[in-house]
Amino acid sequence: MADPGSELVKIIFIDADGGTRECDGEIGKSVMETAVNDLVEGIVAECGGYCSCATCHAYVDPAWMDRLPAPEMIERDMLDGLLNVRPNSRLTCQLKVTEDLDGIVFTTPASQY
Amino acid sequence: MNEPRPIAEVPSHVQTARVVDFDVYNEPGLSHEFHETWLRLAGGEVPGLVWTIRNGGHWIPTRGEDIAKIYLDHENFSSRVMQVPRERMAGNRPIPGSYDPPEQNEFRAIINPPLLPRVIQSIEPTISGLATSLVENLKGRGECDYVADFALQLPIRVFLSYAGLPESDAAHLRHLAEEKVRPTGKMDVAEVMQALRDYLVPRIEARRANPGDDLLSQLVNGRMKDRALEVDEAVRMCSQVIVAGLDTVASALSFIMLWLSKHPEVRHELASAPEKIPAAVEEFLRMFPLVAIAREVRQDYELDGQVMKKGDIVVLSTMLHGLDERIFEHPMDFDLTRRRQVNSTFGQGTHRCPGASLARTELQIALREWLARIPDFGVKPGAEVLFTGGVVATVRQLPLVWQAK
Ligand code: HEM
Ligand code: FES
Repeated sequence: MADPGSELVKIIFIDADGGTRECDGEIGKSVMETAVNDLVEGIVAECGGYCSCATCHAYVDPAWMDRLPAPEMIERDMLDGLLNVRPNSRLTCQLKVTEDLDGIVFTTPASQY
Repeated sequence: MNEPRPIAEVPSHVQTARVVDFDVYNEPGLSHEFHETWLRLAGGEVPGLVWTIRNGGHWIPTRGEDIAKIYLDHENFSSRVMQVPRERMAGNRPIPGSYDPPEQNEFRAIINPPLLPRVIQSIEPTISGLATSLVENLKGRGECDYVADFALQLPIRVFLSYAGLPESDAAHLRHLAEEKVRPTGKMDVAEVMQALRDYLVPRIEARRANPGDDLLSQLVNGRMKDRALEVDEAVRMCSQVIVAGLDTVASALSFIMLWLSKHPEVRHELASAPEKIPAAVEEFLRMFPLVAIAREVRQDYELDGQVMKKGDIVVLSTMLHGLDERIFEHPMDFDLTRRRQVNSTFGQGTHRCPGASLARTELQIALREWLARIPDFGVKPGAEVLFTGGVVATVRQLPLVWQAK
């Protein structure tokens, strides 16, 4: 659990082989930035967060799905074009870190291409 | 020798120790050793940021990390100027290449979807068919110019097929695309754009009246946030999608095949284990980047202890990222066991190549189908393989020979 008043929450990334990384997510930044800052290899993020490359794709733990805002049209359009897309697929650059997300778990796909 | 290359005066804000003489398009050396010549610029104790006196005078960051940082920072670096000297941009406003967000994002929301991996996967059989028929036609000849006979043929055919255009348009469109990127002087920029417009407008109008699911239909029926695309915008967008996807793929293929011609062990490994080709393509893309594109500094910006002034131009060499030895040990070595790290071969940030998935697929298929039929080949004895620098570097000719069975 995050300390009360802390600007950081825990975000967990599990890679396709099951390796787990626990990262400090700064409130207000994106989930993608959290991963990139911590060198989580499963998130590539070549466009830097413009919803333009779809290389920041991850699966949200289904238990957390409802706590995320629904994807906007531009994210849906990109997700539609991905391989290995699932109902819990999201582009992590479009998700802001909030207090509510403390402990959220994402699984990254085997490949972002 | 080459024509005299004009030298620009060094502005007073440029620190003397950073001044170099390097022509990003025509530096002697690029024609014989393209990537090695770029590496020499960045080697040794060279500062992280240099100023060259060629092409009007401009900055060149020499470290992969800084190149990535600038690609990712459109707020400080505008795409309005994509080439040097800046005068070369006159009358040339490619969409989306020369736009900045937020407009550029709106254009990209139109271009991205038809080029995403799932769509590209659905046209894989077409790409395989085209690649196969090109190799089958060449196989019995025992030799070819790989650039003209294969590398330039495949991407234009893939484009025409996906755009719902006849294969017989290939020569005309390629000619225009080439005039656009490497003007021969026979046509000026305005004439090339007019010819592209003459070609595209009737086809755009037909697809607006009667939309299909082809690439061109998807592009020209795309909408900006609150309006349709203007015809002129559609022309400029289609032109850039065409032009950007031809030479790039052709050059990447040609650099890879030249390298494979000298590395029989890797050739055989990939021919006998084609499942390794996708990973090999990633490593080749890192080793053989080919784009050197510019940005204009939007406000004074400090890098490496030097202020770049508003209005200065920066050329971002993707070569200097994938081959940066500070990031990739022994960068010229082909090594499938490297730790995966981002490079800038497809750019980064808001302009990051929308065609990356198509390009990767074309490269993978082209290598697979070629190696399955012609696993052994070499450069024709006595032939000299030369390169031409530019915004996109090209291989002029690659005469290959093999045992025709
Ligand atoms: C190996 C092949 C390729 C390489 C190395 C490559 C490289 C690049 C790079 C570095 C950029 C960024 C330019 C910048 O930041 O200003 C770019 C942009 C672009 N590429 Fe590619 N590209 C390749 C293939 C393709 C293909 C096949 C297509 C066509 C579908 C394509 C279409 C585009 C377009 C339209 C842009 C402009 C995007 C924008 O400005 O937002 N490229 N490419
Ligand atoms: S970082 Fe490119 S789409 Fe998310």
